[in-house]
Amino acid sequence: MKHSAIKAEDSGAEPGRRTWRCLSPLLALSLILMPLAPVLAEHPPRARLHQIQPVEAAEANERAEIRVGREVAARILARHKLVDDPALQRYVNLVGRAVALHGDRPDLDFYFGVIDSEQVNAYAAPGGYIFVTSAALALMEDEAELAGVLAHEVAHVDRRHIVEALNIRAPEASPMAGLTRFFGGATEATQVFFSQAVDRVVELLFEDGLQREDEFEADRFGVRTAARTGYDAEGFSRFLSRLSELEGARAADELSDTHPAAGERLERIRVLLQEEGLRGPEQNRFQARFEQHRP
Amino acid sequence: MGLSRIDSKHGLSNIAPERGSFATGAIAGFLGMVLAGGAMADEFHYRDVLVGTRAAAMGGAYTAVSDDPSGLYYNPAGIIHADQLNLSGSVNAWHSTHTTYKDVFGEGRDWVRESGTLIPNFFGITQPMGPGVFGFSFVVTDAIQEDQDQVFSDVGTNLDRFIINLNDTQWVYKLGPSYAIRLNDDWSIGASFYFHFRDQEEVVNQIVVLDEGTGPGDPDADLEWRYRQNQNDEWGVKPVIGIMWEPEGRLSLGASLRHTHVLSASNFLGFSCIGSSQSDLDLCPEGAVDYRIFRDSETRDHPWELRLGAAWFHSPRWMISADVSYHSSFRDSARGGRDVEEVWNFAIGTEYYLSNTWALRGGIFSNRANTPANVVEHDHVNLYGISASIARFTRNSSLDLGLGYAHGSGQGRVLPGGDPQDVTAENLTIFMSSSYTF
Repeated sequence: MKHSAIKAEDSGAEPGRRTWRCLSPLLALSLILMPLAPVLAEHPPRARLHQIQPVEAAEANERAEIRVGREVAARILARHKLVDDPALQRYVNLVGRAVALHGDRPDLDFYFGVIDSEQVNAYAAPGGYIFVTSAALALMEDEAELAGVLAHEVAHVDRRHIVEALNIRAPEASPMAGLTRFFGGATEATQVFFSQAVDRVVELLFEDGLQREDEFEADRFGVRTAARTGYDAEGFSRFLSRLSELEGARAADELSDTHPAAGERLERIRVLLQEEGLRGPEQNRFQARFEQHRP
Repeated sequence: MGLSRIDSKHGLSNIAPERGSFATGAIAGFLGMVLAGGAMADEFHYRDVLVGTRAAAMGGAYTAVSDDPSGLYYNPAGIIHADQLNLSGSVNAWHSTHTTYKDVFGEGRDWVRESGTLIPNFFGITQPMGPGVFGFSFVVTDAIQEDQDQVFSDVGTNLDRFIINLNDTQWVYKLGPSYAIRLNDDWSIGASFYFHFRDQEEVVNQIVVLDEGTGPGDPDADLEWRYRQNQNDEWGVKPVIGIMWEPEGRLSLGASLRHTHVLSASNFLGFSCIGSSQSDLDLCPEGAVDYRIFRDSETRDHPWELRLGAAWFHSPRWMISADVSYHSSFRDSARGGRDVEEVWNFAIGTEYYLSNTWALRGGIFSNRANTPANVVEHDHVNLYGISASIARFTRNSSLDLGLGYAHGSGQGRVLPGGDPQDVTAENLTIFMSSSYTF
């Protein structure tokens, strides 16, 4: 074969140079590419984004939820300042985190705060940012009631009620956002996305309220979580009952815009406690400890 | 110019073959002489059709990637990364070529050939089996349906009209099994054993009408008509061996070597002619229909092809790869015989995920000619191209839509013995595909 003869001639003449000619473009390319540092070390190198979609999407969505929640927390603190009592804040955080650890998302970092407000209420922003008002704290009589209220808010976060209601997702899941990022507009597009999401969450928390079924679900999960944490499971219903009777239901009216009627909630909780045998020992109300911290 | 031959009293007599010499091997020598533009289809380039979809969109820079069924063709060692059943099929929705020879019959009178065809470009399947991965693929590496219908009037002294009608169809396809195994954490090897088929048929009608007063029945016009049917079928085997080295997780280096061995060929040439008073009487007797048939089974040689590639998997979102390929020189016995030159080509490709469900791919590549730069007989046009696609993913499947475009300019010789012309060539491919992973 003639090409074989040609090959033999070539390789016989300058084998080293021929080999180098073949390999040199490859080595040059390798040297060019080497400085590009790896970004995601946790995935197999060849895994493409669509192949790791489930894991990646869940992580990205949670990051988006936390980012939105942080922004919402900032908006809440712009409306109501934190009560200037570090010991109280620490106490509420300890109770809240104990409850959250027994919830459905124990890996999520929760942050709790007492805000200065005359309204009896509590707020749960996405991502684990939870606030209870000083007026609500004043209405409570023991730690089990505080744990019950916080567990109710933790349940909102655990069940992703706001996230689902507003369809908060990582912007990278959107093709248009990806295209924008590709052409260099990532920061601006992301900012617009988060800003809009935060506005809607604030509206939901302070004006529109969640779906009735979401509130009922938070009641159920909250009561169970408080019981799992070791608190008297009736703490939340006692607080709710007292709230509904307070001063001709003034405080209840404040809640009525954003929550279902207290009577219906109390009845459902009563049935739950009875059916699931959640009535706990009275000594787990920790009234004395609560009294030490209440302002 | 070629026309001067027709104008001259010598006609084509100076290149007419001896009748007695039309035995085995004579077709090749005869073909180049009898009609204008003897070299049909595109035997001068190796990258006319980019195989696969992801690979095609990345300009064919796939030797070090090759981790899906397209890898069966580019580098079978890469399919070791297929850890589950994967089906992939692509359809080149449209593959077209457009070649223009400038000013063949005077300024503004270009010689234009166009091809447009639908190609089932690639189908492949990979499946883990035993200690390695098994695959099977069908690949169309070249497909041309070339057409030329042109009439040139008042071209040169004594020439009233030149009419050419050409239809040329060529398919080159391969199918066969592959297998890859992993030698250790860094090295894997693989091989594909393709059956190679080539099917070409070309029909050319050429009519030359001379001015009044040039024929024997003066003042009547005189004409020459030539008809040629050329058919070449061949089959053989094309083994491909590949190796892949992944010394660092994100860097992959690959190489593959292949060569087509033609085991059987069938070549047919039918030539018919009515000669004019100016024609070469041996080749084309005046006023009589002369029909000649030639057959032989001479097999063509093919070049050795070496591909070297490097890929960097920077992240799940972005990767980049590059290939260089080398085709060796050899002697092609077909179409008059010619010394085919060695060719180096390059390709660079990248892939970027916009999101979990959308990805963009792009590439640049060369498609250089295997002919001498100093045009003696065959076109010399180096093509350079770009490619791109967008892919949509679901959990187990993907759908791709992309295109490739290549452009080049150089020189070619349409009429035997004439001066070379400036040539521009364009290739456009629109492709789509889907793949499914079980």
